[in-house]
Amino acid sequence: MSNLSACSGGWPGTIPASAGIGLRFPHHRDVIETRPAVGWLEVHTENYTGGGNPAACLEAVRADYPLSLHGVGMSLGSADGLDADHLARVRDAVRRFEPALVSDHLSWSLGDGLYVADLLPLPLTEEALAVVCRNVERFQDGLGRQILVENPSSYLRYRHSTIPEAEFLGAVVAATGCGLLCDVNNIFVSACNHGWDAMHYLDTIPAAAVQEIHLAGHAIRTINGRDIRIDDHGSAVSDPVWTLFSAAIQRFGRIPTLIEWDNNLPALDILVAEAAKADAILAAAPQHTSERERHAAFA
Amino acid sequence: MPRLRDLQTAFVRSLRDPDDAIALAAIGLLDDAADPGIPATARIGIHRNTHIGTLTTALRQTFPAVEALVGVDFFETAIALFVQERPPRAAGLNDYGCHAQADGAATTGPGFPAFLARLPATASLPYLPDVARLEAAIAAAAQAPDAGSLTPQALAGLGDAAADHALTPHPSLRLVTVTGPIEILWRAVLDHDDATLRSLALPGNRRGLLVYRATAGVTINALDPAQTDFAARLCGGQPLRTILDDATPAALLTLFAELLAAGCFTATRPLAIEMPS
Repeated sequence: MSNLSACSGGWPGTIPASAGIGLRFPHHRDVIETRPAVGWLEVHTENYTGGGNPAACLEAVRADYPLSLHGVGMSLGSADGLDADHLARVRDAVRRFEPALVSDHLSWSLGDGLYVADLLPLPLTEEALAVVCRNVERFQDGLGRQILVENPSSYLRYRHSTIPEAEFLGAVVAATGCGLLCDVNNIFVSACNHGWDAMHYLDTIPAAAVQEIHLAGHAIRTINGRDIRIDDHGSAVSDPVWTLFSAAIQRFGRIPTLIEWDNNLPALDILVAEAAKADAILAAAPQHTSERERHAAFA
Repeated sequence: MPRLRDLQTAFVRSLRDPDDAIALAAIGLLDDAADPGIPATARIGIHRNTHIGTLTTALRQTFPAVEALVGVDFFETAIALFVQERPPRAAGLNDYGCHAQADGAATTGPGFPAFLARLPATASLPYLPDVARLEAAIAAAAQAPDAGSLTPQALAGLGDAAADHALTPHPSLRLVTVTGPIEILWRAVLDHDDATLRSLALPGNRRGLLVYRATAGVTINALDPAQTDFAARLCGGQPLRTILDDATPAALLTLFAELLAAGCFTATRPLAIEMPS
């Protein structure tokens, strides 16, 4: 396990156990000028590794909002290991913006020497588990702090997978001391696509490690007469995902919860209203965070 | 059981070419029995759509005037070919397609502008690669690292020693050499300014476009040939003594002052003086 105890704590601010929104470029000005009533903001790390206007906007908003950096490019499942240059860019962004949370995905995007710009599924094998643990440790060691790993949405499975996904995530947590980002929409999408029991998934992942929840919309496509759900972040959170969210926070307690919306981006007030809806559900949830605090401190 | 590296290689090849024999091996790894009804090829197709869609969005955001000039269908066809020829090799797509075309080289290099210049179908639009090179320079300038500015006072403080110093350009600074009023064409295309488009005289004369990020955002400064050569030497690491002297025309001195005031340089660096042997 990585020894990160000397590095935990000391990061400015924490994410409140309330709803936040994903900040995208078209909303920069609106957020700076109107300061909407949301608890925190999350951005895609890769959009803020340069200078100029994006970085200046993030500097402006982080004075008023706790911040989370959510990566889409670390490729934690790549057999070839992490891209050292990308790790350095992310490390520099973390030093500059001092986010309260840093996260990426249980997936891979780099293979055959190329970056494919998608979050691709891993075979859930002992070999892949070792690869992910090695990469998560290198990521955490490179930053000198704990990261969160997000469960993926899935459209296919491999014949040679041997470990259920929720158990795989638990094993990564146990081996590396990382935290989890529980994407409730992704659980719902994968459960529908593969016939999984979403409640069992929630019961299986280590609750104390969950430090953030994602909510988003998804699409339904029909192929060969069968529906398949696609995690496209292009619409409002669906009713069954809200229901699953309520069940999740009954298990995890009040957790920082993000509204993600990337495609067909609506006006800012629509996002803020979605966050308010999440806040109302969070307010009714139990507050049992002591175990989670121990996990974060342990990491 | 396949090794993870081999699976990932096959999967990537299947995204890029559905007929790839190695890729077919990856499809054979997918569990059709567990998820019946939708064939493995269709499931990989979902990821292929995201792969090409994300890269298309990245290039569309960087090259909006190019898309407007050639139309959506041709633009997307060109992107599909470009992605095959020059796929990204690292995460972070904000500068995808922008490399090696903002240095004044006409049609060489691996970037999207050079790729466009090689397409036979673009031969009837000789200004298209120049517009693309300008858009690449704008994108690069917009996201270049932040850096401090060399102040006129700091330069003046060096006194006579300044002559043996070179200037360090701001990381956002790009000098693009084009033929004709490309920056006017670019702006008119984005603004749907048909009157200006009709009035443009293309191809026109060689000119330099100095692109840099000032406090107000990305700025494009159009330069005549003398100014272009002057700016190239200012940015090229030569000692100031070889660029500025008593014979420097007033117009070039004014340009120098403007660029200095705009924060186009971050520092001076002393150059070793050659000693007689």
